[in-house]
Amino acid sequence: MEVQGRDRDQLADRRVRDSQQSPAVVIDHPEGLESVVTHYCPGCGHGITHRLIADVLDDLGVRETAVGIAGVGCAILIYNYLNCDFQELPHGRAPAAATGVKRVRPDLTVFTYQGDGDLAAIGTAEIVHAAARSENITVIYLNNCVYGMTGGQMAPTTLVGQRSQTSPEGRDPTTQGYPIRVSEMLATLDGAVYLERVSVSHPENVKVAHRAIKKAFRNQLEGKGFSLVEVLSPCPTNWGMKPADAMRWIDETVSQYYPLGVIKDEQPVRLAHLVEHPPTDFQGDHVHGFWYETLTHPTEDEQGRSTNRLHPFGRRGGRWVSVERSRRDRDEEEDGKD
Amino acid sequence: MAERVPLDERILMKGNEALAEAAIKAGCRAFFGYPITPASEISAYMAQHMGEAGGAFLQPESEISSVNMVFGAAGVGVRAMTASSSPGISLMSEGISFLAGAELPCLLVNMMRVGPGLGGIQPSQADYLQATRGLGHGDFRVIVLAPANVQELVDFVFDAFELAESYRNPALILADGVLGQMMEPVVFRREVDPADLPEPSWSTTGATDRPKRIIKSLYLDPDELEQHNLKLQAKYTRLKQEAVRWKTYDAEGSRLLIVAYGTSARVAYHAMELAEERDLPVGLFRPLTVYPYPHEALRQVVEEEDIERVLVVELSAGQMIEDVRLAVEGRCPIDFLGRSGGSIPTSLEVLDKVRELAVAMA
Repeated sequence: MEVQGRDRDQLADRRVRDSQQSPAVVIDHPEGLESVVTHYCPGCGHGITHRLIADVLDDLGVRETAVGIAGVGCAILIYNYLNCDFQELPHGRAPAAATGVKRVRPDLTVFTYQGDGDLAAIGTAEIVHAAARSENITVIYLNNCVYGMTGGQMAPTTLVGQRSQTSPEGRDPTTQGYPIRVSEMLATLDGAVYLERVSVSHPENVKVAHRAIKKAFRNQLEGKGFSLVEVLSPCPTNWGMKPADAMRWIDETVSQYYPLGVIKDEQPVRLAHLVEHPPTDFQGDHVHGFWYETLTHPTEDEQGRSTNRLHPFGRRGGRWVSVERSRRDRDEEEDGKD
Repeated sequence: MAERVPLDERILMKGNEALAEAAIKAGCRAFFGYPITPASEISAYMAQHMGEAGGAFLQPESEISSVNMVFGAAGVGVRAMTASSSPGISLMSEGISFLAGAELPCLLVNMMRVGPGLGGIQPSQADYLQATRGLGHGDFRVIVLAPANVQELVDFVFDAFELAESYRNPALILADGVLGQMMEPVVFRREVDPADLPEPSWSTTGATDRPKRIIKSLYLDPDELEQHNLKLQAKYTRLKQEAVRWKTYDAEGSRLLIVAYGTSARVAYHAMELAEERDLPVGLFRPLTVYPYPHEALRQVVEEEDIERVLVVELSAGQMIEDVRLAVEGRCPIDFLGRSGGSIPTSLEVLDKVRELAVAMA
């Protein structure tokens, strides 16, 4: 059930009252969150989202192995607010750096925190290819439909008709194009494993956002691959709204164009298959996944069923090889012994 | 690890492949590179062999991503590199500026081709000013090594990683397409086990039992930023004092001094030999580091040997000549011979120029 307007205010009042009456019941301060005042404007959604990430880092016990990659925008200073290691990258490039970290240190928990200008405009190539490669990283994508840090210019996500500094009469799709639904776009890629759009517009939604962010991190810990949570977030300053109105605008307008919910959540076939049928051909070598014959040589039987097979592959003797290659190598080795 | 290329054995190798092998032997465990002629063999070699060494190889979607992947990997303290050629290096500018601002050590390789624009795929030295002065926005410099043969391509990889780490600054190997594509005998003399490298005090490897670390180049407070920038400048001053390298050949007693680096220096060296056969007293000064540039050393040679004339030879319309002017400071006239379309001057062309100058000096 949606909790809006006055109900929401009453909830908040009750919470404050409860905490005053019974000091034993307090909200824990997550270890992942620094005790500092943020630079965010009143009513901004970054603070809530930071808090959720901090909670998740604590919940999953990964704060000490976490490396955040900060995108450029209002949240560039996230490294002052979260209590974990951070790298600060050029505008849009966070997924590339996250790839760099994760490829050399798969044991670290790597996440990017990017706004919609960063991720959906200048960083489109980086996010698309990180998803296509199914980099085992977590992306927190905060979409507030505007460039915040630079003072409210039109973003790729700015709604049709939405006014901004650079669309003063409202975004005109005939000259300024249509807003990009990043999550839906990424959902077309085989490599994208989990994509969910959430919002921080009211407590119920914040709970959903918390669950989604947790899942996106857990996916990484389970080695599932590319996970992204798109967070619809208010920007009262640049929307020219009061904070409460901005929250309502998310519910009534923004989430109409950007519908909330799970956009893609596919247990990667390669892992499900792996669990059911652990290949024995590798004799202790680590199996990393499967590739599909279908992608290169689709074949069907008379009934139109695919006759293609999955090819498990992994590392053998320090090399990436298919199981068949591995088997062939071993046969050759044994022949050699004879 | 299988002895892919054994140590201390003289073998014949292509420049790009020797450089890649040297990087693996130098403990590089992260390579990110986008295909471009004439540097592509570096990626191909890494694709084949980085896995054997337990490192990461990835071909990203652009050079922009290459350099930012290097940022990420360097940021966790791994020896990381990328290699490209001129247009690709231009694309990396932003990332290189961020690497320098964040003081991350890494290796960049530019196998220069002809510009501007798409230019051509022939060898060139026309990225000299970019490499030594303009690799990105802001007050920063990159350590730039200029090899002239395949053996130096190999040796400079080790040097570049060591310099990069001791100064916490990106290092660039500035070579031209000839060096990348040519085959020469080469010896690998050492091998670094990354496990033996000290763990940096700044790497973002997870805040386990220590305060969090932040790798960044943003300083919103002007005073703080100035302090940071002064620190960078102090580093460049130290580089000039400690890391300058050059070689002189037959400078003693010569009246004419050729200054050249990389492939141009090889041509100039032969021209010098031809000139000496004809009793023309010619010497050669070859910078091995072009940033920091051996200004002081060149000035001393010109002064001590009473050099009457300097000839700069480059595969460009004249770029390093600016550093030569800064070094010589008007002590003698400076002449130039260059080719800028991808052709390489022959030693006879250089010799002709030397003769012409000798006549003028007589």
